[in-house]
Amino acid sequence: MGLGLRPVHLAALKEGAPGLGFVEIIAENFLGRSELPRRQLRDIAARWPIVAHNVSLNLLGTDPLDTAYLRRLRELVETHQIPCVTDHLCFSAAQGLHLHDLLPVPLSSSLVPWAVDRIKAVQDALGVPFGIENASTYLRFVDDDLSEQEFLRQIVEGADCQLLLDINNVFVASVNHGFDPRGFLDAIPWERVAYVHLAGHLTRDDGLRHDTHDRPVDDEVWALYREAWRRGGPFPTLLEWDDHIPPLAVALAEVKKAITVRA
Amino acid sequence: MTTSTVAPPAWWQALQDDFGAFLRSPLRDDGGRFRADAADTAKLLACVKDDEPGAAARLALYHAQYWMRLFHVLQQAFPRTAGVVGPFTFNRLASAFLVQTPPRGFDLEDIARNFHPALQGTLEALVRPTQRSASPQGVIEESLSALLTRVPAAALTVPAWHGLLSLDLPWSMLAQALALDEACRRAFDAPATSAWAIGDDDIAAIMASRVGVRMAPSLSIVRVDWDLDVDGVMPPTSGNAVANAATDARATAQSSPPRSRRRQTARHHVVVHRIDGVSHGTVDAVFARVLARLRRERFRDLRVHFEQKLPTGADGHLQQAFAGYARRAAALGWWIGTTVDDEPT
Repeated sequence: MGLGLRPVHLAALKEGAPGLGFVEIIAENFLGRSELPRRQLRDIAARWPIVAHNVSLNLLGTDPLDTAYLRRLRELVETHQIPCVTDHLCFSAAQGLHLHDLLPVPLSSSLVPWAVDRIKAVQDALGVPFGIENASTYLRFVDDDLSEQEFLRQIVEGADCQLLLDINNVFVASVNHGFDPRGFLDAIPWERVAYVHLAGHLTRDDGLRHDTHDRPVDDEVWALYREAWRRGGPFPTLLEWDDHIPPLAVALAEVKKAITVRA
Repeated sequence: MTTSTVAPPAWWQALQDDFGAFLRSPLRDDGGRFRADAADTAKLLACVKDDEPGAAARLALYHAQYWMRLFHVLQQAFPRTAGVVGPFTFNRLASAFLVQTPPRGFDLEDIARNFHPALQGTLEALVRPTQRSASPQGVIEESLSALLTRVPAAALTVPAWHGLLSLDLPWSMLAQALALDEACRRAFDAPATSAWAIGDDDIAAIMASRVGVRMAPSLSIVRVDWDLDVDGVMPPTSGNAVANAATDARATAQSSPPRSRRRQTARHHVVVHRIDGVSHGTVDAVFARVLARLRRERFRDLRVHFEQKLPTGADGHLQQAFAGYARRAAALGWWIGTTVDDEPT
């Protein structure tokens, strides 16, 4: 069982976190100018295994990969012996400008070679296994000629990389784009799944599902998690909570629900 | 890193460029609400599948996320300033800045670093002349913020809604809020320091002016006489603003700033980056003066002033009073050692 590391939980984590097996960091938070986050991370890394999750690699972008950023990321990986690094299958910068979001990409077979090439370059630069995460999306493009699961499968197999499967994102996308999330799970190459993400989302007045990470996991997402476990379990499970973050004990109780759900 | 042999499809580069330009398109003020201009979406909507309902609304969600995330970052970095001017006005200033200076790196802290000089320059320009009872530089010096390395203020090119932004607020209030926010932000960037086990010999050497005092590089002192307590003016916003992009936008438009009040006596805030995090405390005026002057002077240069300012009855206890200050400054990581250089740091 894992939990995304958030600053509000640092003090409580010092007191211990029964049942917590690993911690996921947002790597960008530890690559900036200030030494404070890195100092705080040393204490956490001394107690729990760390995995690094990124939001800025711009994997499907056309801007050149940021080699300085990759060097710093590799230093972080080596310092804390991080076994696995992930980012989202999206673009997050264009024309040299960062957009600080996980932006949707066309599910086009013509983009697969580009994605494979970029992911191989990232994996080579980091020196540890790299994984891609399916992102929540609110748009589809006219250039789509693949299903999302087929797009993912072709890329992870072409790049020979891992998959960070976000069950909440599968559900959000399935509602927003009208596909069967169980069919999505049927197509997952489970042997490549490093771990899975869970999180809460918002249902807007217009019915759109918004990936907000600001509440407990939705019951329908838990049901989909159970389906995933039947198809591909066992796998490590991690909860993300980014807004209206509850006390550590509440977040830990939420992720531990997974044990009951999948029983 | 391996060298790429694959080129991205040209259409994909064009689509990304259009998407980025759309996200960066300024928020439009419409009856006090922020929203994207529909005209900006036409090009992208042609690339989006139209068999899903509300394609324009879906695109607008990405637009709102871009702006609300960046507003959130800047509000978190300048909470007192945002509280004093109100979130709506603050976000408009942030918007003007971000249009001129869109983010170029992964580090969101860079946005706040670059925002400070623009925010300071713009606030100075927007304050009504009747509210400028003290010059900006005067306030800074009065607040002892000369300890901060001043970055030249650079006013933003304020867009059409400039007229709405004339600030009927005392400049001293704005300057103090901004100085305190910036002191905390700079401390976060600066190296951390540990407590110094200062000894009687060290105190004696400082008082004899044989040595100077080495200050924590993150140390700032800000004199504040407006009610700008850390949580008093504006409670910190929660977590990731992207989560509540739509509701935040409405709240941003409708809320007005709470009015701060002036205190009878000033507080001197000391901000420093210690091993356990950025620390924020207050000291009396005499201690503040000691801290400020010993940064650039030896004790002999402030002895007379120090003696004059001591409370009645303490005149004969100069050494005892100074030792108390010194031990506190060392224990809190404000002083980190001594220097025998001509100029204390």
